[in-house]
Amino acid sequence: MADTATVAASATDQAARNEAVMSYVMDKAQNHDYWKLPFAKLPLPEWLTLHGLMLVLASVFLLAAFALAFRRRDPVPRGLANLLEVLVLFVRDGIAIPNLGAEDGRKMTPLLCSFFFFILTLNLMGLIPLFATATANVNVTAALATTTLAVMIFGAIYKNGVSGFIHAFIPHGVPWPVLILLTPIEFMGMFIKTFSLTIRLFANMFAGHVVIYTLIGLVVMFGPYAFASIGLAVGIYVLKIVVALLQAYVFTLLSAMFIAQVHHPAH
Amino acid sequence: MADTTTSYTEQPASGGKGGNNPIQVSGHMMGLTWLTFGILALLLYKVAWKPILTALDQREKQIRDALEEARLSREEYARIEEKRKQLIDEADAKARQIIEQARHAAVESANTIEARARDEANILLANAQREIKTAHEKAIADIRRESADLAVGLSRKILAEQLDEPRSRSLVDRLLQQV
Repeated sequence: MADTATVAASATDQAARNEAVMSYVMDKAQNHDYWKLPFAKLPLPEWLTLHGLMLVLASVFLLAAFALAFRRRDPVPRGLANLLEVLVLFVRDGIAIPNLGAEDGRKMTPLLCSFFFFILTLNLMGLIPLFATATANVNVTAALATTTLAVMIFGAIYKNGVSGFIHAFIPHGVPWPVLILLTPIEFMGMFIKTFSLTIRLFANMFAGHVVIYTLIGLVVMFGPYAFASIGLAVGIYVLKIVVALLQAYVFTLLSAMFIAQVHHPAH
Repeated sequence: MADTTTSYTEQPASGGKGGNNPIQVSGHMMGLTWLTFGILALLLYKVAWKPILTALDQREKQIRDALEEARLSREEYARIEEKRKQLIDEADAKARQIIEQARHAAVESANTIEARARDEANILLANAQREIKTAHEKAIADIRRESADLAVGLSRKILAEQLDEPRSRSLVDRLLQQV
């Protein structure tokens, strides 16, 4: 009887561990109304929340970095200024101008730079202990993607007029019965692109965290047998650095491409 | 056992206005993102993008200008070099010409001097010849006179000795003829 009780107790314990790991992983992915620091739990106002705080911190950090790097108007940049300038040049010459053309590309570079640096900072902040990943919140990525949508729509109307904007959804040289089918699809495509932008960034950042916490959770679930999973978690962490860069680039690049498709409906 | 479970688990936060589930759509969180991103984009435009992009354009322009300037300088240098070479060539030609002229002038003046010298020599020669001739003629005349005097003297002596000899007279005549 005693053995049965022990087995039952250990089974219950195992179940409890599994439950605990699951809720730990879910909790880590959650947005909170407090910021858990090593010795304190900082309560946050309801309107801010943890992810909101991360947005604000990222903004402050970015502004400080740029103000610090470019505090001297040196014609020859050095140090941090050099790094930031390379990234700005990359966004201008690698993303904006090839997709939007020389003139529009230059006009759109500030917005695309803002996208790139904001998303990159948010992504990288999620890799630092104590900080959270705001881009693993679908509302944040949705807000960024709808900004792109707004630029697509209002930019096209400003540039080509309302009729020009509507004509972007009516491909040339297509017989009218096909247009009945094609135009709504083209129009919906604009929102689907926005949606894909939202989900791509959110899912990449969210999944990375869940995978890391789950791999670490395996140690809690299976004890010393699962120590190898810590190595795996470190590997995933390194991968996430690449993903953080890549997703910032992909979001910016696709934004530029989507904006160009609506702004230059030549095809 | 229930106690163990709770000790592992974080107390799940109650869903507030901000929406604690990152998958749940929350207008509040979206609004917060828009606001933050909008302000950030505006400030970064002022602090970073505009100055950086302007500086980049300026630097590109400066580099292009500097390259263009270097090209112009090179061309200018080549032009000056060409001109320098041309000037040297001209000066060389001029110097050669001057030397040639000087040589010509020297030859000419040598010729002139030689001609004059020859003329003078001729004049001197002519004078000398004339003087010689004069002297010669004078000498001849002197000799004639002397011989006549001699003849007269001799004749006087002969006459004094043999005045009556007709043969002598004819001899004297013949002699006088020969002188």
